[in-house]
Amino acid sequence: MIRKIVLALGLTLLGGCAHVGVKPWQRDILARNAMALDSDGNIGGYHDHIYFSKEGATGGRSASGGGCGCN
Amino acid sequence: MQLNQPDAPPLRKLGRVAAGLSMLSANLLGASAALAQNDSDGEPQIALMKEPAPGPETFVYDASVLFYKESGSRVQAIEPVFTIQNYQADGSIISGSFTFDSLTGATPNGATPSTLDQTFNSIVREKTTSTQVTSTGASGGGTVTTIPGTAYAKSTYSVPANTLPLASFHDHRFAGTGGYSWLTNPDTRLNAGLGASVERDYTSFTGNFGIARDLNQKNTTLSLAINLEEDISRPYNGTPAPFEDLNSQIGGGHDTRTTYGVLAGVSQTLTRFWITQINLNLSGSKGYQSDPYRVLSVVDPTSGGPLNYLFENRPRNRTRESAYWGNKLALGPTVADVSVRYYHDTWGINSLTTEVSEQVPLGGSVYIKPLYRHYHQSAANFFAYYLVSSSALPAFASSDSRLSRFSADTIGGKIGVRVFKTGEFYIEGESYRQTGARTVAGAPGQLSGLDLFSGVHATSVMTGLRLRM
Repeated sequence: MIRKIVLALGLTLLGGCAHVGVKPWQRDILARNAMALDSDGNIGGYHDHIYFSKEGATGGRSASGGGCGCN
Repeated sequence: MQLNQPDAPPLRKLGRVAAGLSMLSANLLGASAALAQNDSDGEPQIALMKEPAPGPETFVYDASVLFYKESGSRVQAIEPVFTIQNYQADGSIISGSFTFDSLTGATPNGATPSTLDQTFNSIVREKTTSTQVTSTGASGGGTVTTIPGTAYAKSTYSVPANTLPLASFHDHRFAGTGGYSWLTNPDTRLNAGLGASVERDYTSFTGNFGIARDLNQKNTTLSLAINLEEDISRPYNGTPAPFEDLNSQIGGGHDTRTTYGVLAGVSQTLTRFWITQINLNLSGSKGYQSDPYRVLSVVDPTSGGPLNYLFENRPRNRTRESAYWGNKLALGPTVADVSVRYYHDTWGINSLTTEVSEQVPLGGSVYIKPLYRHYHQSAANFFAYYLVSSSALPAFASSDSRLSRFSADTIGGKIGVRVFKTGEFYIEGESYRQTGARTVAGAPGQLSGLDLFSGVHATSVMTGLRLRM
């Protein structure tokens, strides 16, 4: 089920990709570090580690595994 | 990926590497002094939230420490992390990280509370003397006695009546990662990485490889990544057999687990102010997945009192899948981060996670970032608070609260301050609280009146310094 939903969303998104977005000279705001999808640095790693060690679910943001015996 | 502009002008470099390294060591104490230095240097300073993503020929250092504490005298941890990224002139990126964990405290051993005192025996691997066993056993903290004629020792500890049984422990963990990312053409980036994590009783090796392709004038990025993880579990008490009695268990060697994962993602620039990302993550793991220190109480069907304790047993296979949708939105001078994740696995756990934060500038040199996260999961289909002696043993069972039905809320906030012209001092505080069912309908005897939920309430502080040179 989840795969079908994501596939549908992905195809819809890709289909519209050619018509959305910005020109290279319009990237002033998007080029800021604060707008990066992974701008949290070490803090993001701490969050992943805490949640991985205390919850049953994991993954989603990146492909890397947990790598510790805490779960 | 399209936000990294290889042709963007590099930030002004600090003159001396030695000066930069000494700044790293100043981390916490030097923040306010460094802020004062900014004003005395006549060159313009980039506003913290307008700082561009790192360009070529730039080093980014991030040195931080986590202080983590669970209420009820449970786990405490201190975790320093140091990461470095080197953005090279040809667009390649070399990265590395080093982590050290120090954990102490106590964690639930899996047994239910009782209206009477409880005593637990656990077998710990003998080193050369029983004294050393006391300091290494995950169930340590009690009385340790050697078992004549064997290579093992026995640790005995007592838990007062009406108290959740906890086993004290302390451990250290060293972990390191290394990665390399490079452009094969202006629109295609490959990346590869390796990692290792070593504890006294657990070792993990990871490797990953990925490709990202920019399309539509870099407004769209398709990515595909695979990862492999090999875990080796070497419990102090040896790997217990499924449902083995706590008091009879001696030895059992080590066991392993192999995990394969694949992540397919697309990120899309929608407007000048909005970038969105969707990831689909699929992973499968085979091998030892149980907690070698965790037991279940076998209780009397009438009184609910514990009769004995059996080691848990989880399936050796698990397939996980998740869909993640993340967004970054520039709303005026602020930046919002909004994400949702749906997760499902073959153990029967379904979860939904929502997270939102808002980064708000306070002038050019300071920002604040309140955050909220809500998590909910259903229980694994083999989760049980206890086993009843009159019933047949199930195929699998675990009383681990991480496999139970619960919700968790995180409330926190971060403050970032510009220091050293191109650096940022940050500190974040968080409260993380799990809530779940504390009683079980139809629980026998004394268990109907006892709090069985072993979820945590944790507070954490993370602070560090991020520098570009």
